[in-house]
Amino acid sequence: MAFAPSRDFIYEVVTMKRKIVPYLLILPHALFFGTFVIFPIFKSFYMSLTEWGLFQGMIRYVGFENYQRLFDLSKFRAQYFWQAVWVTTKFVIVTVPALVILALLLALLLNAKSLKGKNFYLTTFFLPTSIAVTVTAVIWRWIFSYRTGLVNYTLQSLGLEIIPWLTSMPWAFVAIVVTTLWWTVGWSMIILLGGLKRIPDTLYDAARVDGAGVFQRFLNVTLPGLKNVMMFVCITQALASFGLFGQSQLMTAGGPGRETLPAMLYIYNEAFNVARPRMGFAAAMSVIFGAIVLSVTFFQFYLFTRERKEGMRRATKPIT
Amino acid sequence: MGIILGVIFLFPIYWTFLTAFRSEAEILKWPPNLFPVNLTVSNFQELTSRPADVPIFTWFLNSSIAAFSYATLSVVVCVLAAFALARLQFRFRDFYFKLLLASMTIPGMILFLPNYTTVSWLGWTDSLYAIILPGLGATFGVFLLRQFFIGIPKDLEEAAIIDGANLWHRIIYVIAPLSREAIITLWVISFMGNWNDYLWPLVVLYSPGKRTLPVGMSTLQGAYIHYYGVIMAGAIVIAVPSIIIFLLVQRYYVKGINVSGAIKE
Repeated sequence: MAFAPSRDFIYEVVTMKRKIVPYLLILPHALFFGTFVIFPIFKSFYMSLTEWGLFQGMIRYVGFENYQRLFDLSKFRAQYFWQAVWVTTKFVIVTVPALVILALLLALLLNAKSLKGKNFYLTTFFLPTSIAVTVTAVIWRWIFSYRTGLVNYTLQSLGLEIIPWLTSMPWAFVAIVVTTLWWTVGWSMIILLGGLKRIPDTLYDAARVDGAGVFQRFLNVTLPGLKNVMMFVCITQALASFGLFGQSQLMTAGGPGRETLPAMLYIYNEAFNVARPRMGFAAAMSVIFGAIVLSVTFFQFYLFTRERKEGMRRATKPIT
Repeated sequence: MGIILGVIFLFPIYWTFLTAFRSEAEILKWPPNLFPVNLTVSNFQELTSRPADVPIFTWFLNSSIAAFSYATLSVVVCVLAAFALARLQFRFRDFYFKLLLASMTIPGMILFLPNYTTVSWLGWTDSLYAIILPGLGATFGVFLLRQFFIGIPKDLEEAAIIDGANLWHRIIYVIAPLSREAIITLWVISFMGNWNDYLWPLVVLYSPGKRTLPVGMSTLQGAYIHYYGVIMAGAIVIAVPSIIIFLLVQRYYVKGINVSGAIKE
């Protein structure tokens, strides 16, 4: 035999293999994660410093020019951007509390021992989340349509004035909010229901023994028990609402005027403008908007964890 | 109380079906008829009559291929990574896990423009690669499966190792069957997410024959702007498969979402 491997050599190969294997298992995920999650963070900063056409070779470094243009409020594009940010912020301010409260009510309803046909209701409330945003938007555009829509039919049969839902303010905004509530409330409801089920019955029993009524039990047992789940719901809901895109694009096209044009739609419109795509400018907008969203996320996190930390501090403080 | 809410939630879906099976004259009738009478399939015939600019069957096929491939690949990629993170020792394990956690705070909106340029540089635009592959970097599945794998007792694997099982045997014959529920959950969530995704396919697919159903839907709305019957027929074609899958596997879906909620606790 020309080559007889020594025991040491075999041992080395085996340990090397053992060392490499974990990395090989991680590799497929790491490859995509690195390329499409980590790398684009840096690339979007780079893109925001350039004038970037849709095609290769149309890239020119311009420094902070895009950012300057965004903060120069005498330019109409800067005005459009901040208006879009404001529209999105309003949407977040309205939908997050509305979704959380509605989801909590539905979850409490489903958690009630007296409710019959629980699975049917669970499926019913949750079903809309399985529908694509485009489908949701066309369904509700039809329901809200001026002359033949169901909502106006209902108003008319009640003897009320009919409303041009999708073409006047604030109704266009209301229509988008209602559509979003119907579409996504099931998601938060499921998470809150899971949270409710994890609160031990003994806590309720103890509260009842102490003479707490329904409302007091809700305030002192249910809400504190839901805190972590609530944080998760609020943060993910806010993220989702900041990403508002399809409902506006397909129901109102951002109108009337620019009153329902959200940031994502404006970024998309500028980046993929048929006449002249402005990818660099759009990237600068997405960086600023992303920073706003990120700070809101951290702020929510701070709000939810603050009390706990204070409680800890109080608990661990030496008695003087 | 429950019944009223149930009706409110189901009515839009009922109304969509009703509109899709009605003639244009019946749809525009005022006051509208709330009951299923005078039904017709003419809207569905119209929907399939323009294969050049509204190739609904091609869209359906594209969506099915993309969602099926994505969900399957996603399960494979996540099982491998989650197994390594849950069971093996290596130097960058905790670092990688922390990196995954930290990446969850990144708002998705800053990723889509650079990802578009990357995908276009790779030559994947206007092809299903762009719909299937970039999403494999998502972190949710790795968390979900890692969480589940950690909960599986190690004794089972140790017994298998004594019987001569190697790494693949451990994954395929011990870990995978025991975490069947979590794997199905991940598959379903990935499938639904991909099937319903709108903004990303809108950006990367441009020829009519390459589109997926949700993007096709917006094309359809443009082509039949005031013909609600045809639009609703299209809405049904898109919504029914995801509704059916949803009803079949709702149990897993609910569980998966709850795990994602519980991870953060």
